[in-house]
Amino acid sequence: METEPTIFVVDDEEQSRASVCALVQSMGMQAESFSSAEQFLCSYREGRPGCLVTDVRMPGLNGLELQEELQRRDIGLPLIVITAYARTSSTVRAVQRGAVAVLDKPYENDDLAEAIRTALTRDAARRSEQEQQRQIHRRIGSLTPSERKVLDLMVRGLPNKSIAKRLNVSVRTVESRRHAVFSKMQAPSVVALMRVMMIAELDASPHRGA
Amino acid sequence: MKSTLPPTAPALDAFECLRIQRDLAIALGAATTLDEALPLCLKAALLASGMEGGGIYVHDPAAQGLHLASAQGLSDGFVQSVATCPVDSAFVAMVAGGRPVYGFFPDMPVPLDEVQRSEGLRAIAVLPLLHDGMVVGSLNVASRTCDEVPSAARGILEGIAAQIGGVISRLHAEAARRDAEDKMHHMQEQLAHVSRLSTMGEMVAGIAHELNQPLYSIVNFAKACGNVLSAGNPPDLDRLRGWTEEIAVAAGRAGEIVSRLRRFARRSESPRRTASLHEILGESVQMVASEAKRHGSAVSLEPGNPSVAVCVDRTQIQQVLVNLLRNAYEAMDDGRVTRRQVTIRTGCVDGMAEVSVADTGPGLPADPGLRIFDAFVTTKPGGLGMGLAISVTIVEAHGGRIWAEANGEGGTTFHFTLPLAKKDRENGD
Repeated sequence: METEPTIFVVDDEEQSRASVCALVQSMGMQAESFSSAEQFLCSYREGRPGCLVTDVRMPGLNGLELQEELQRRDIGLPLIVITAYARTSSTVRAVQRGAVAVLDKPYENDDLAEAIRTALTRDAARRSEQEQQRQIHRRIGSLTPSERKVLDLMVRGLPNKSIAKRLNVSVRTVESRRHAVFSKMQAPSVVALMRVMMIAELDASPHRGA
Repeated sequence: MKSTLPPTAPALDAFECLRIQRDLAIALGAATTLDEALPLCLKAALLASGMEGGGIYVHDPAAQGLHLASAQGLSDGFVQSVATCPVDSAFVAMVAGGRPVYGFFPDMPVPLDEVQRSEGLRAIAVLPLLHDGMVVGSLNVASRTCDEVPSAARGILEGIAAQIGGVISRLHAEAARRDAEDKMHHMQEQLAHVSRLSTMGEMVAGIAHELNQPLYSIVNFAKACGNVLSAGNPPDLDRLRGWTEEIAVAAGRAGEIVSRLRRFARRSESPRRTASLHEILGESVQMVASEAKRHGSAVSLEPGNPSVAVCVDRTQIQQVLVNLLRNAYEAMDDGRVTRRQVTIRTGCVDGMAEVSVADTGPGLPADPGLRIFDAFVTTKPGGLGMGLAISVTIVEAHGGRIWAEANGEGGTTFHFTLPLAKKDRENGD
C-alpha cells in the first residue's frame, strides 16, 4: 500500500503544470502531472493517497466536470480548483461540493502550498476513517446472523428482556450472544458499540460486508 | 513715353507656333503640380511671343490677392517688388476684367515704383487666366526691346493662357480628389482604430486570463526557488537554474502578450508593408486564443502556401481576422453545436491572396434582407453591429473584397481578398 502522498496536477497548459510540480517538489513532496482530466482519470489507480490540483478551463472535461466525475466514481481525492477568472457561480458550487479551495490565478504566494497541506491533512483523515470503517465492517462480518440481530437491537437501546422477547429466545441466550458481540466488535460497552456503528454507517449501510 | 522704335520681335511661323503649343500640351499632360506646370507654360509663352521676360500670377486664397508663382527673364529686384498684389490693387482690378490687355509698360494704369520703372520693360501683355469662368491668375509677358506685342503673337499667348487655365482646373480637381481621398482614408483609419479599442474592451477578460497564465507560472516557480533556498540543506543548483530559466521564459511570454496588445491598440501609421500572411493570421489567432478556449472552440490554420506575402496594414488586417474569429466563436457557442471548429485557409486567386474563415456554427439566419455587412446590423444579442462593417471598409481600402456564404458543415464561411506583395518589393522591405 502506497503511503507517500502524491500531488496530481491537471492543467492543459504545459508551463503552468510544470510550475505547480516545481512548487510541490520544493515542498519536499512528489507530483505527477496530466495535460487533461481524461488522462488523469485513465491513469489514476484507486486508493493512491494525495490530492488533486486542477485548472478549471480545459479542452475536454473541465475542472468542474472532473470533480463531478470523481464523485460519480467515488474517488475521494481532495480537490483544489485553480481558476483564471473571477469566482463565478460554478466555482462557488465547486466549493460547496467539497473542493478544498478555489484559487484565483495568479494567487497570493502561500495559498496553493497552504491548500495542498490542508488537502493532504484531509486526505489522511479521510483515509484513516475509511480504514476504521473497513475494520468495523470486517468485525460486523465476523458476527453470526443471530449475533447480528442482537447487535441491531442492542444499539437501539433495548434491554436484554425485550431483545429475548423480540427474538423469541431465552434471556440467557441473549446474554451469551451479547458477550460474543462485545468481544468480536472490540467494544467494551453499549455506548462504545453505538459509536462504532455510527462510524460504520457514515457512508455505508451496516448490512454491507467489508 | 512710347519710343519710335519699330517692334523687333521676331515673327514665328505658324508651324513653329503649333510645335510649341503641342510640346507644351504634352509636357503639361505629365505635370502633376502647378510648380511643375507653370514654368513650362511661361517658357512656351516667351518662346512663342518673342518677349524676354514674364511671370504667372495665381490667385492666393489665403491672401485673397494674386501672387507671382513663376517668373523668367526678370531681375530679382523687380520680381520681389511685384511678387504679391493685394486684392484692392490696380493690377488685380485690371486682371479681374477678364480680358487680355496689351500695352506699353510705363503707360499701364498701375502705379510704378523706381525699381519697377528701372527694369526697362516696354511692350507688355497681361492675359487673365480663367477657371470655371472665374479669374484665377494672369500670364504676363513683356519686352525690353519692342514697344508693342506683335499681333501675330497675341493669338498664341491667348491660347497658352487658356491652356494654363485648363491645367489649373485639372490640378485643382486632382488636389481636391486627393484631399477627399486622404480625408476618407484618415476617417477610415480613425474608425478602425476606435473599433479596435472597443474590441479590445470586449476582450479584456480574455486578455487578463492570457496574462495570468505566465504570471501564475512565475509565482509558482519563484515560490519553489524560495522554498528550496530556505530549506537549509545545500540546494540543488541545477534544479534552481532550471526554474529561474522557466521564470524568464514566462516573463518573456507576458511581455509578448503586452506588446502584441500595444501594437493592436496603437493608431496605425498605415504604411502598407510587405508581410507574411501566415504570420499575420497566426498572431491574430493568438490574440483571441483565450476566447476560443472560453467558448470551447478549436481553431486550425491551414495555409495553402505558408510563404505568401501581402502588402497590407498589418494591424488592420489582424483587426479583420479578430472580428471574424470572435464572431465565429460566439456563433458556435450554442448548445446545439456539438463540434466547434474554426478553420482558416489561405490561397491565391487571380493575383490576390484569399483568406477564408469557416465555422461549424448554426449558420446565418435565412433572412434574405439581412445585410450583415452593414453598420449596426447584428445577429448577436448585445452586439453593436460594427465589426463586419469595419472589416468591409478595411478590406476595400486595401483593394480587396469580403463576402460570406453557407458552408457544407451548416456553418458560415467568410472570405476576403488582399493584394499580393509585388515580387520587387519583397526584397526591398
